[in-house]
Amino acid sequence: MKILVADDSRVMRQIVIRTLRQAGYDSHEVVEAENGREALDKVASEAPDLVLSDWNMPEMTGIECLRALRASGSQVPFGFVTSEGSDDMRSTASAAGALFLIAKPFTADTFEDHLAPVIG
Amino acid sequence: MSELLSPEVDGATAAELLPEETVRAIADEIWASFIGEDEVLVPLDGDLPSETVSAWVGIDGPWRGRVVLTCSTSAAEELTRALLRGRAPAVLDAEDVEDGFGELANVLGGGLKALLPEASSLTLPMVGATPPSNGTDEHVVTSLWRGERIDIVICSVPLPH
Repeated sequence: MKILVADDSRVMRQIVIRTLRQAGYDSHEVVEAENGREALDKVASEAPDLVLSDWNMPEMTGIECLRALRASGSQVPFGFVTSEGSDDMRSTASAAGALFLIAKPFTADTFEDHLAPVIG
Repeated sequence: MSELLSPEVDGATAAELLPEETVRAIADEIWASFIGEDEVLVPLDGDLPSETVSAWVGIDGPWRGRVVLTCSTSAAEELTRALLRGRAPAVLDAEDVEDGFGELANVLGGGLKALLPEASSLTLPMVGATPPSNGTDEHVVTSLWRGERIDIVICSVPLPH
């Protein structure tokens, strides 16, 4: 299993990866992307089993990345991990094909609740 | 301009939209989740050193405002170290602190933005010694963390005339 973590903050990527480990996903390979454009490229080159993406990033936002993925035919499971968890954004995310939206701050339990149905 | 604003935010000050107890509740949750389970922001005043660093995000929607986090440079470094936990290098470079401290302001701004009555967007975080000048309704929530003063400042940012 491979998980792609996309966030423009290196510190936040570390926090997400640490939380994945705490939630029990310590045997999964993790690859990182600094923005939506890099995430889009890495979905093609790395073939991850799940993408965990921030929303608000330079170059290409998370929602633009998700829409580009779906437009290209990719059905990679995609979830947001973002500081903006409004109802409006949740419905936008869902309409674009996201499986879930985890709002920051989060806990290992939150990760487990959302990831278990996707990657076990 | 006022006819374009929603009734909930028209004329409301930053303190009315995001009262102190709300700001503290959001900040406490962030501190407990990201800084450490036992880490608390104590609602006490303290001295802010002459040399400080700020991280801020803008909120853009029916209400336009800014959320600014300000503390000493050493506290910003300690906060970043706490965010990274055991993965922090022995010496943090300026880029790491800018990233970590900025992300803290980003999460704080996102949490507060979600409580506003209508959908808004958040700008990318900025970090610097001097944040943009604050509006007339500057709303300051002061705390101590590990004995260091941490200020959360919220203000309206009116559109230029």
